[in-house]
Amino acid sequence: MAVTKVGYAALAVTDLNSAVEHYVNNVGLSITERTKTEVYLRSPGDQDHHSVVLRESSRAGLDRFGIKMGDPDDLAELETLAERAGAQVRRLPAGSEPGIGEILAFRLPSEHEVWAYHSTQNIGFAEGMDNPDPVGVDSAIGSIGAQHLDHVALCAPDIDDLSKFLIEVLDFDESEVVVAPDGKRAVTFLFCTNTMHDVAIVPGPGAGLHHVSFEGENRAAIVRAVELLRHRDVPTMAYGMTRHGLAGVTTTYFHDPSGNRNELFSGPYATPGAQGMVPPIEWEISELGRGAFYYENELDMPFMTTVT
Amino acid sequence: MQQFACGADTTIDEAARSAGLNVRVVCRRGGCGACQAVLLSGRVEYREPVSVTKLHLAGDDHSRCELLCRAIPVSDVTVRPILAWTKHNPHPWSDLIRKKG
Repeated sequence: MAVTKVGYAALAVTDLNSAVEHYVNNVGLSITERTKTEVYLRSPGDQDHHSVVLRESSRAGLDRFGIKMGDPDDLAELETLAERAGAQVRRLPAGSEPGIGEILAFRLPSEHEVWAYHSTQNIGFAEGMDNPDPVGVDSAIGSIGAQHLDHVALCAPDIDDLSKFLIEVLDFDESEVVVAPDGKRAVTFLFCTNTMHDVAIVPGPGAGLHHVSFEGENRAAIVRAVELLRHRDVPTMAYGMTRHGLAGVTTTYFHDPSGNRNELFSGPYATPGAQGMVPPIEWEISELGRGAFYYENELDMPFMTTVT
Repeated sequence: MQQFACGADTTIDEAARSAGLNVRVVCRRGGCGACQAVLLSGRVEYREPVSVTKLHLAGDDHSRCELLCRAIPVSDVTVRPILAWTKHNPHPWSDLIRKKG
């Protein structure tokens, strides 16, 4: 059984129209489908029908996220394993969500809703699959140029508990971990692809969303992105941009019109894909200032505590 | 206690900034809760959406609070912010530099 990627993030937003405008014009996604209640968007570098779903709600936050399984039989295996781990599992028939087939829905120990699926409608890269233009699509020019959905950062009251589920049930591996004085995980980066995190977990309320992250084309693209976001008065982090010590990436954080935090980053290192064979990088919590904000060498606490 | 005037159609955050106070604001869209404050007196209204889950404090009692980035006073109000505000250190040039609302 293998999770091949975090396929999409479904976000609750308090103003659907302004959210769509943000994810299209600022982030660089494009709409693939609208239903009565939800808008489905794709990033130029993902081939599946959607990588972001937006739904109007009275609150902001993460409705659910999708994980794409490697094999059709993985759903049955996951059903057994998740039930054994104490999760309540339900099956949703193909057609329950546009662009994807049969779904196995369950809740993580942290109360996050996950929809697992194998079959998806492949719509190719936005540039097309025949003789594509490497510069990208015109529709994304003028945005910050998100290439693809990279990871979701979840909040959990018990990080060890959620990590254990992702590692033991879903076969994620751990690339970096911040260790609390009591030896428990304080922050962790988990991966199922060959990049260093597909799911990050930070302390916070159950079902909470810290951020949804997109990869930029290169580090220079992050500089241009910050300037565009400031130019358009999109609320960015106080620092504008920084580098994380953890992961080593160059990054900027900003907010969608409902307050959901987005990230555009560049420079994650590759992970070898040999599950359990490479021990994680460990950070002491006393080094978390440098680990979180490498240039500033201090941890901006509202960055940790204000989540949707 | 800090006192300052707040114009019509102005959020408490904007008014505080004009008065030289930095409200803790992160998303500025009523979604993250960084600017939560308990309303001790008066009334506020919202003209743009905010996340209803952030109109209640974390913790056991879930008591009502307001989001200063989008709350517009409709009377004199007294608020107690959850995260501390900071005061600008005025430099002689401060008043010459355009403040952005």
